[in-house]
Parts: sequence; C-alpha cells; structure tokens
Amino acid sequence: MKLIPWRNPEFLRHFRAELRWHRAVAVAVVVVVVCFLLWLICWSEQQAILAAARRGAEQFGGVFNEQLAKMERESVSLTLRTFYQWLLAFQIFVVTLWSLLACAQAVSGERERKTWDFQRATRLSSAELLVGKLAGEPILAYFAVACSLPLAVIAGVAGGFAIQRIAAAYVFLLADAFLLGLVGLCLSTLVETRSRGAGTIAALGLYVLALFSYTLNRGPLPGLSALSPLTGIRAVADDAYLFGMDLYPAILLGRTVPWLLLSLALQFSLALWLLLMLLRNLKRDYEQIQPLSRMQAVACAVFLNAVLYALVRPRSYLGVGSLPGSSFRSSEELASFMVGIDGLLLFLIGIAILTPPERLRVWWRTRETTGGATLSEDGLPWPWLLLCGAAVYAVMTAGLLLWRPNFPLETDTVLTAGLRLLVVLVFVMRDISFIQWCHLTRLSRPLVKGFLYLCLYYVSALVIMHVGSYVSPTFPARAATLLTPFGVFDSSDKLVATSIYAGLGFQLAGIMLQLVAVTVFIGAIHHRLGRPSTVPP
Amino acid sequence: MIELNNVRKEFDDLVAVQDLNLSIPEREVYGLIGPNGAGKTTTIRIACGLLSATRGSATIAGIDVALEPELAQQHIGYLSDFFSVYEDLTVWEYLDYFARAYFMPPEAISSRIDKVITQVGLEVKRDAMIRGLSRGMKQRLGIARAIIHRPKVLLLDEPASGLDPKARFELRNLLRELRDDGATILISSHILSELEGFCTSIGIMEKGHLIRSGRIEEIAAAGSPARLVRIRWVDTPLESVENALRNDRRVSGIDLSLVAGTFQFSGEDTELAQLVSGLVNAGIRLVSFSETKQTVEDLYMRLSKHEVT
Repeated sequence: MKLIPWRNPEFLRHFRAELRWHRAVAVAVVVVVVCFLLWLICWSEQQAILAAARRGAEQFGGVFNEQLAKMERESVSLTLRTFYQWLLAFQIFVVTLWSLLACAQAVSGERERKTWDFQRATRLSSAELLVGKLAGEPILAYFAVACSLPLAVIAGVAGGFAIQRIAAAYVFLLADAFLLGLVGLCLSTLVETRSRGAGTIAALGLYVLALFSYTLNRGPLPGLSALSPLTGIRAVADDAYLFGMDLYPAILLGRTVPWLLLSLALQFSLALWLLLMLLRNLKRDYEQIQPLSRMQAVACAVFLNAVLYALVRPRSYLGVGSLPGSSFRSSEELASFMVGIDGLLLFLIGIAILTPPERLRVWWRTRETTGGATLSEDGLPWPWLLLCGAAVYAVMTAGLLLWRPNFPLETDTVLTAGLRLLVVLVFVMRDISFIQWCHLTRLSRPLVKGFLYLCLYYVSALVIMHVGSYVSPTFPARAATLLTPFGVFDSSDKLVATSIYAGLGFQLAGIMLQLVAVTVFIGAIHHRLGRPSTVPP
Repeated sequence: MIELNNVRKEFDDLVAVQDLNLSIPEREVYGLIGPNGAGKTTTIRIACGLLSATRGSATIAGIDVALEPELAQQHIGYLSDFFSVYEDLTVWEYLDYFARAYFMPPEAISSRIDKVITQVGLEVKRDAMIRGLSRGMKQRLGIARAIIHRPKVLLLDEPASGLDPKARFELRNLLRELRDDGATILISSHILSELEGFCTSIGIMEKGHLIRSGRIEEIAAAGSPARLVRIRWVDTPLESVENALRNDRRVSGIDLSLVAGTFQFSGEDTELAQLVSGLVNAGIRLVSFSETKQTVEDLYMRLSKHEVT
C-alpha cells in the first residue's frame, strides 16, 4: 500500500512536476512579498490607531495618556496578532480554494489529456490514487503555506495566541482543504471531459455557496454555517469567537459547542461519505459510475436527516449574551421545513443511485428470464427511493419526538408531515424516473439534459400558475398542487376556498396525476429495455 | 496466457463485441485485425480491465481482470492508439512514476529504467523534458512505459499510428525483441503490413465477431490449399508455357502475360521441383520461378469479403 503521501507515486509525480526548484523559488518569493505587504497593512493600521490615541492624549491628557502608554507598549504585540490573523485567513482561503479547483480538474483533466487510462491500468488502487491526487493536486498551495508557516507561528505566539490554538488552526486548514478537495474530486469524477469547464464553474459556485453558508448561523439550523471556511477562520482567529463573544453560537443537540469542534465534526462526517463515493467509483469506467449503492443511499438519507435534526436551534435558546437568532415556531413548521429539505435530498440521492444503462439492461434480461428482484442493486431506482422515503419518515418521527420539549407535538403533525413527504416523494420518483429514461436514450450528456428538461417543466408550471392568477385567485394554488410538489407547503386557504372536499380532491388528483406520470416513465424505460440489441452497420 | 470467454460488450443498444472466445498461449504474438469499428479496441480494453464486459470474463495469466484488476495489471503492459504523456516530467521521471505505480522494488527501478530507455532508443533524452520530444519519441516513451514493469502480456492498440516508416521499423524490431524475451503480445492494427512477419497468429474481427482466428499458416491453408507461384521467362512463346502448365493436373488458376505470370499449384515441395524440371525440359527458358507467400493483407482481404466463410 502506498497511502503515505511521500511514498505515493501520484503525489511524487505532482511534487516533481510542480515543484521544480525555479518554480519553488518563485512561489517562495511571492509568498514573502505577500507576507511583507500584509505586515505593512497591519503595521499601518496599528500606527493609525496609535496616531489617533496620541491626538486624544494631546487633547485630553489624563487617562488618555495612560491608555496611550499602554498601547505603545503593546503596539508590536498587537500588530503581530493582527498580522497572524490576516495571514492565517489568507492561508486558509488560498489552500481551500486551490484544493477545490485543482481537484475539480484532476480526473476530468486526465481524461481530456488521455492519460487517465494509464493510471487506471496501473496497480494503484482507488485509495492510493485518491491520496496522491488529494495531496498532490494542490501541492503549490501547500508549499506556499509551508513557506509562510514559520512567520505565522512566530507572529501568532508573539501576538498572544496559545500554541494549541495555532495548532488547531492548522488542523482546521488541513481538514477544510481535505473536504473541499474531496468535493472537487467527486465533481471531477462525475463530469465528462467535455464538461470540464462546467465542473470548474460548479466548483467555484460551491465555494461561493460554502462562503455564504456562514450567514446560516442566524437561521433555525445555525450549525450548517460550520461548513463555511469563514466560520472556521473566525473560530480559529477572531477574538470575538475566541473569547466566547460570538453573537450566534454553534448549537448541537440543543447545547452550545465550540464552532471549531462542530466544523471539524461536520467536515469529517461529510468527508467520509465523499470518500465512500470516490473509493467506489474512482477507477471505474465513466459509463459505470454510480456514486452510491442502494443500501448506502438509504444510510445516507438517514444520516443527513439525523444531522439536520441535531443542528436545530431550540425555540427557547438565547445563547450566551447574544441575539437569539431565528427558530422554528412550531413542530409543524419544523416538519414542513424538513419535508422540503428531504425533497431536495431525495432528489440528489435519486441521482446518485441512477442505474448505469448497461447494468439496467442486464438486470432487465435477467428479470425476464429468471425473475430478478425489483429491489435489485441494478434495478430501477424508484423502489429504493420509497425505502429512503420510509427511512426519512422514521427519522422525522424520531426527530419530532426528540424536540417535543421545545416544539410541542400536536396529534396530527406527524401524520400531516408523512402525507406531505409522500407527495414530495411521488414527485421525486417521477423526476428520477424521467432522468433514468433520459439516461437510456442516446442523448449526449443525458443527465444534464434530463435535469434541464425538468427545470423547463418547473419554470413552465410557475409561468402557468402566474398567468392563471389573473383568471382565478385559487388557480395558482390548484396548479401548484397538480403540477408541482410546492402545493403541499401552501398553508393559505386558497385551495380550500370553495370547500374542504375540493381542496382534498385537488391533492388527490395531484398525486394520481404524478403516479400516472411515474407509470408512463417506467413503461417507457421498460419499452426501451425491451428493444433488441443491434450490431454495428 | 490471455483468455477471453464468451465476452460480450454493449453500448446502449449497440453490440460492440459479440460472444468472443479467444485463447492466446504464452509467447504468442497475436494480431487482431479488422476495419474501424470492428470491436478491436473494445476487446483490448476489456482484456486490460479498463472496460467491464456486459457478459463473459477475461483472464490474464490466470487472473480474472474484473475480479482482481490490480493484481492482473501487474502482468499487463498496455498502450492505446491515441494517448498523451505528462509533458511536465522528464523521460526518467515519467518512467519512474510508472515503475513505482506498478510496485516495482525501489532498488530495481533505476537500472530497469536505464535498460528500457536504451531498448527504445531514448538514451540521449533521458533527462529531457517530455514536452520537447517529437511525436515518434513520445510513442517510444509510451512503449517504454508499457514494458517498464516487465509484463508477461502486452496489449497494444494500434501502436504504430502516427509513426514514420523508420520508427515503425524500429517498433517492429523492439516488439520482436520482447517476443523473444518471452512476452505474449496481443496487437491490434488496421495497417496490415505492420503485422507481417511478426505475428504468429491472427484474428479477424468484423462487426464484433471474430470471424477467423488461428496461426497464420493454418488460416492460409484453410482458406486456400493451393500455393501461388510466380514465373518469368524469355525467348519462349506464351502458348508453349501455357500448354506446359496445363499438362500438369496440379496446376490451376493460370494467369500469364507475354513474359511472366502466376498460377496456383496444389502439391508438396518435391512435386513443385518436378514441375520446374518439367518446364525446363519442355524448352522453356525460365528466368525466375518463385512461390509467393500470402500476406496478412491477402488473407484479410479474402476472408473479410466472406470468400471462404
């Protein structure tokens, strides 16, 4: 096994190719210049503060003089502290972004250069290739950090940071770079050669999304912001966070936990899922890639739901001398929110368990001749989506019961949430069946096109709802119920404006319509699978 | 050494390889020939473990490539038709990477690289950056990569594409050396002259089927038992030559011009010698009398047109 980076051939390749002495010297010089500029900024900032203090002392004297004397004594230390904070933020930003972008092109780039097959044809296992790429692709960024590390450590210690705190900062840096590298590698494995640019754009989009997830710390699931590099940077370097003065503390299972700990825990658990996906698929032929097995998909749905329930902010939670942030108002609101999130999660899980066409054909033939199981690993995804839905519902019930002290549980909340989840699940099954059908056709990039067709459908439905609102005030709600899963989240009374039976009737009609659509798509898949194979002309 | 059992590969509803059975013994050089789209590349990729078969199995040195891909790779050297190399490495670094990736003992790597570099004639470029190499040199480097770990089996997909005539000649010599060293080689090509005098067996693929497979002599003999003979003469009327040939019942397919021609002869070497002396005794002044061996190209053109199937 060649899992240790410096014994890993893939890592050595990157090391040799990207860190030739002239390039290494150039990077080191750039790093020194950047550090010097950062120092100048911090020093000038400190000088500006001192100048202001001097003016105050000259003007008012007395206590201001004492304050000035203290500031002058601590001036160097404060400058070094600020320098460390800025330098650390800069290091984290560079390494995480570089890791994501470099890894997002790792496999697709090899495919494009036609070197990937030779790597696949070596004795290197998926795990060894993974370690090599994860550590090797962003090697220049790691080298840049290594160049500035002595300065950062000296500045941090001189600036008053405990050595353990500094070590924790670099553990976070590595963990975040590792997680984002895995995200990049997943993207790179999933996109075709021709979509390499799209993969890079998606990686950039994900990074921006991760940065913006910082603002979730005010929402009902504040812990989600622990996934943002910004939260990590503040957790390891911001004075407010270090001294427990943060306005929005991290909450896990209703208790305050350190942001750094939550960030590392979330990153570690998500990284394990990404590792699982990559180890399954990295050396596979592109056509055979299936991110998750069926049982893994069920486990993933349960895990993600459990994490979300663990991150809920209790309604009564005020935090430590801080603003409370928003929370769910009732168990029904919590359940509705989770149904919405689960719709998205189930769709993504459905995409992850789409069956590669070749394996689906083999399953179909086996089923025809020997009666293969409907719940087969190579069969259609919809039965497994139902299982995922059932598992999600079980977690939802447990979650609502867990949070009962904070969000009193009304008798029909669990039942209503179950019905809503069922409606959403039917829509997800329809959409996934459609994409699976697209996958069987000879469309180029069938997944992307299937997804775009679905977007077109939902946009059309929204336009119809908007236009219909001029005809009748109840039309949008009815159309939403019939055509989209959004109808189940409409808490207004528009749907039942005429009578409660009419409202129920529309709900039922919506479900029936989608079940018919699911049947049609499954029929189309069966028809496609039943076509005889042809030989080349 | 290379066994493909009932291999089938489908892409969507297209069958690229149909129920292929192939067994290549040790030290054999097997040429897989056929037009573009016949399924040669797919077959080689399945044998290499890069592509999973829809049905059937491929074993290399007794190891199932689908079940134990990494173990099987130890015995396989693979070269594809269109490939690239890592331009930002030197020739030595490139080979060192693959030697390590094939888990060669570290102490043996350096000497092996030097030997392989010499074999492919890249000694002067040992420490040169790959981006500065010509197309032919990169192709040779690709071959060096494929053999760096001393594989028992070489799977070469159109290895001479893009090479100039001199480089092709050198490639053939190199492959001969490897064959003599005991490697089993499966080579696909649609440039049939590449395989001439080098392959011991051939397989002809069309539309995913292996329509003929076996040793070249056997295929040639099964296709046509007659030997093709070319003659040239002077100062003898055409009719005399024609009559002399027609008198021998083992001669057929006579095609003569004024001073030269060909015919087919069904018989052993001693009988052929008798025919020569018979012609001389009949007063025909022969300038040359030679048997023309059927080329791989002849065989392919004949068999692929279903003349004998």
